[in-house]
Amino acid sequence: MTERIEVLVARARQGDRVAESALAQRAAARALQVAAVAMGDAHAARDVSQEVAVRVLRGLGGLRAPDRFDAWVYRIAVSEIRRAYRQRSRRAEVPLQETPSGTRGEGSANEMLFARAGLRAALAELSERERMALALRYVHDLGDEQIAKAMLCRPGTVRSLLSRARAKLSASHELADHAPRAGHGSVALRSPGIAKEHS
Amino acid sequence: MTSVQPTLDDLGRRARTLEPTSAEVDAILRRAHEAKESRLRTPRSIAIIAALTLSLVAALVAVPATRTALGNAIDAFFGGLAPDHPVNGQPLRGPLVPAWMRAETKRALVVGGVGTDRLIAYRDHGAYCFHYGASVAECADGHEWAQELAQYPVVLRGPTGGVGHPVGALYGFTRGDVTSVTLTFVNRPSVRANARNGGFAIHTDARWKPRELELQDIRGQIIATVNVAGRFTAYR
Repeated sequence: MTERIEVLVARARQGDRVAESALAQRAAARALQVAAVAMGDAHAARDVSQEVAVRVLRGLGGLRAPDRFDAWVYRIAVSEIRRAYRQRSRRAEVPLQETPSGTRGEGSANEMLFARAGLRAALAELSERERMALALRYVHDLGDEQIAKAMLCRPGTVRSLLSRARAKLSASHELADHAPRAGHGSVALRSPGIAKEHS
Repeated sequence: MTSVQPTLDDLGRRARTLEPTSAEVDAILRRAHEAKESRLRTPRSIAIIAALTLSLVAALVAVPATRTALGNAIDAFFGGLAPDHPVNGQPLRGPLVPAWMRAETKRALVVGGVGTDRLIAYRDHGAYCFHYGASVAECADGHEWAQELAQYPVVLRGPTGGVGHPVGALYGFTRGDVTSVTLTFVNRPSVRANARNGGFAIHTDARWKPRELELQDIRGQIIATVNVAGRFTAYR
């Protein structure tokens, strides 16, 4: 995307369908990528990403700071992911790590995403908010302030969530019991290397 | 313990390869435009006329606020919290729920105004929306509004007017226990506005150097104070 986001928003507000499509693509992609990790399911994340993008396009007229488009998208994404969680819990759907794969071709997407054996199960041990903070940090490298604005909490809370999430994953038997294995296709084995704490 | 940084970095890289399909983008555009067309078809004119009528009534008669039980949406949101999901501030229940969010509020509600510009709250496909004047509008679902108001008793917007135009309005959406707001200035007397319906709008001029917004309850006690000076620096 080479055009500045403010230009795209202005054009979309004037009815430019190409600009609208670009914004829809951008919003849906960001939401999909975060939701897939936060929800542990690329299939459910596609539904959420569409809801996010529709809300974004519908609310474009009210966006006062077009240069903060991405921040606005993340906030809507967090809201929609939470709504999806509540709907799932009310319908008593299967727990995170047991979501059936292979429906609508998303089984391969989940297998690609959670290639590390035990990772999906380990993520399921985290709270919803811990997974959300992890997703926003590790998928799109958002800082504490940005994550706080998306999750409507304080930066200190974000730091606590991330710290707890990493500690739980580090201690997770799901990850410890499974040695890293080669992913699908051309993904190569990687050695753990030296852990670096994200600032 | 296992080092997870590389695992998480790898997860992030893999997630970034996910993209919506062109069919999904087409569906998004179709739904967004269907929603717009649906809104145009709904009798918004009736809602606006009702809102203007309400504003005339409200100007003459102080409508006492009645506090009722939460709507299903708010109850479900807070009822579904995980144990480690604390809500900062007070949960939005009972008297803290603003008028425009209550279950019985079905139609457009005028919550504030300056001159001929009205701050109107209305429902749109399950979202809670606001229009101010002729051009400013925003929508969000009840959970977002509830979470914002649970953390802070006011959600501020404005000032309107734009860069280079110091005259405009500061407006906002308030928690149910806020019944009035007072805007203080450096070099002129304070201005008070009614907030009983869950919102307010106050005429402002950046040259007056607005300073703080005080939120008062029904007894006139100050619930919170917000420094608003920073919102007007662009115009100085």
